[in-house]
Amino acid sequence: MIRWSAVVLLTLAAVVPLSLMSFGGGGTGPRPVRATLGWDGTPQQTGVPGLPRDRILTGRLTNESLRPAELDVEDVKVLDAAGRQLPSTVRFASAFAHGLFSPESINRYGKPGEAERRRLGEIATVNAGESVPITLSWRLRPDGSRAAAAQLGDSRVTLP
Amino acid sequence: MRASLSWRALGCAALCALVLLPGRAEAHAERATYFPDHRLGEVPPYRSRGPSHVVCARDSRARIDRSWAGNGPKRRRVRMLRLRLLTRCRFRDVQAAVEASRSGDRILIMPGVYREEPSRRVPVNDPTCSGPGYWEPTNDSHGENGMLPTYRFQLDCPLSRNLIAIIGDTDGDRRCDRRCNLQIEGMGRRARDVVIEGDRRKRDVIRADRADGIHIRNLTAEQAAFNDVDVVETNGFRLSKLVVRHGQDYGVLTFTSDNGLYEDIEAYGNGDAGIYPGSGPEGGCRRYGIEIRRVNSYGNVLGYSGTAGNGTWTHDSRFHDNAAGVSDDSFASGHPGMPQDCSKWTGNEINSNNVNFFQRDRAYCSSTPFEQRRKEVVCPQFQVPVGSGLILYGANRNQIADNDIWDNWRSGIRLFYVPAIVRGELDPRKLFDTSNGNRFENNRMGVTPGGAADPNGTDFTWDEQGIGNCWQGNRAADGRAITSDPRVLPTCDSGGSRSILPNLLKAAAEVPCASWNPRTNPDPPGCTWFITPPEPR
Repeated sequence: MIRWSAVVLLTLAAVVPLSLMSFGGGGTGPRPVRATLGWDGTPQQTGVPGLPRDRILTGRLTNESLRPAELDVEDVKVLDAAGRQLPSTVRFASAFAHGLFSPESINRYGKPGEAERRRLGEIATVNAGESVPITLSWRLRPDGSRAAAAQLGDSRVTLP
Repeated sequence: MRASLSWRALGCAALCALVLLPGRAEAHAERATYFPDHRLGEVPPYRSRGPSHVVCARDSRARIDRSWAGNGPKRRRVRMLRLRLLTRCRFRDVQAAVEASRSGDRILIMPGVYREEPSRRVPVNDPTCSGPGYWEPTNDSHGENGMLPTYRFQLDCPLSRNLIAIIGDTDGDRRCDRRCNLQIEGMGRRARDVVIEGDRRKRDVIRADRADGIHIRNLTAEQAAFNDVDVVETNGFRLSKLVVRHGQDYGVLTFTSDNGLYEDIEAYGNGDAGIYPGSGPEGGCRRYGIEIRRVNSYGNVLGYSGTAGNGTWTHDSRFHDNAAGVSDDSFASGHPGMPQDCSKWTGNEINSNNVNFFQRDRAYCSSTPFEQRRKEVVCPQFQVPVGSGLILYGANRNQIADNDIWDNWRSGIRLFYVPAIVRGELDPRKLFDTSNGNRFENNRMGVTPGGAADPNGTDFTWDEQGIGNCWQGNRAADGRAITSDPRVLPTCDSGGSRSILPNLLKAAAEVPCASWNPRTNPDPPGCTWFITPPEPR
């Protein structure tokens, strides 16, 4: 039995990044985000077995402003309540992927181009009113202060 | 019912909308390649007769005397045969013999170490092949400044990137028309008696490109800057009795090639995989165009890697003591034959893949370029979940049956989906096209071939996604049960799984590992792949 509601949701989830890959971000590369972002639904957060200070959060971010938002993982920071940056990772994706070129090659020749970075969820373009998958992880400080927000360029979203 | 209908209408509309999106070419690490017509090729037979060229080293005679020392009748007879053959030696370098060869010739390499000095003197960036037609764009800044060598590059500058090159197509029709059906054979007692030593700069030690019918036999190739043995766009190949070791990436790589046989190969010490039958034959599960048998692959990051590893039948082989044993996956873009499908695994031993190369020599690897590293040091080129036997990520219609899989401390087998977009695939009809139709039957999990319990961390780990994935008849050690996550797995008799959606948190748990970089981010928050799991009891 096909769950058509799931088909709709998954298709929409795919349509947005596909359309953005096809039409967005051409030529000049990503620009720093200048948009208001918010959660599309409630993101899910989990701990990590064997890494007691690590957390993973996955969900979808909506562009709540009236213009496209250009997202780049290099502009993303996870902050604790005191505004201190926590070690973190981010991908605009909901599943693992690795690059066509090894990290060793990247270290040697520089980071890959826009198409490869979009494929891997390192950059994304979110049109107004649309959303993009995001998976964040972070490591809490030994003092236990919790993560409070993710800073994406000029925009900040609260972490649940 | 009304709600269900409206969801159906919306779903159809959404899928229709997807069809209207335009396609787009993506990058690839190899030049654009194409599958040969499998009907026109076959696995070459071994030949002990026919025209031949003999290659020897300065100390071949002494090596022959040592290898077949003694006065027993068999040893003396073989020694005399080899010494007689040695008198026919006309070449000091294998490549010189390749260039003197015609189709159907044999190249007989006497015991020795071959450094291929004339090839080494050819610069990696040969200015002869720097102009138009020699490079093609990757649609990316990578490759080398966004470009990769074309076939014409290999034809006109064969020794720029390769120590030994068999380049078979001179008229551009992608079929071999010279130096076809070559048999390159080491004449030592063992594969280790003839060593082709890479210079750690040339990408391939031996490259067979559109070299239909190539047979490489009984030798060792080592220390390639990419592949020790590389077979590309070749219809009919046989790789027998080889040792492939200490490559920066792969021991043996075959790519968009068909009618192939890997047999009796020992692969170790490679920074990605011991063997890589990537972009394999497209037989739609009706035929298996590459057979892999009696391979012993250990001490690599991966024992076997099959990105688009289609149409392969691997049997009676061992993948052990790697960081992870086997991968069939759809991670990369630009690999013909995506998504991966139709590999068959029977009668293999996949065990003890818990070697953590991500922690061992970490500082040395990140501070020392490949050219300068000690050859025995394995530096991971890509990330894998340490402690895994067989990892299927974005894989379809694979059969894993009657294998022994034990002592992999994370998982015996992992099955996860890969969204089509990850491989640069924008065709909306392919949106949900992995991981489906995989069958895991009658495997012995967590028990050695001798019958002793030696558990995997979890026998089967699955992201709960896909249509038609099924598990049936798998057996644990006496008194133990199969372990799995989720706890209950769909059987094959039931028709298998029926879920489009993955478990989102399981899928998300893998994502932080994508950020791994041995120099800048060796320990990504949230990623457990590079922590050796505790040995399960």
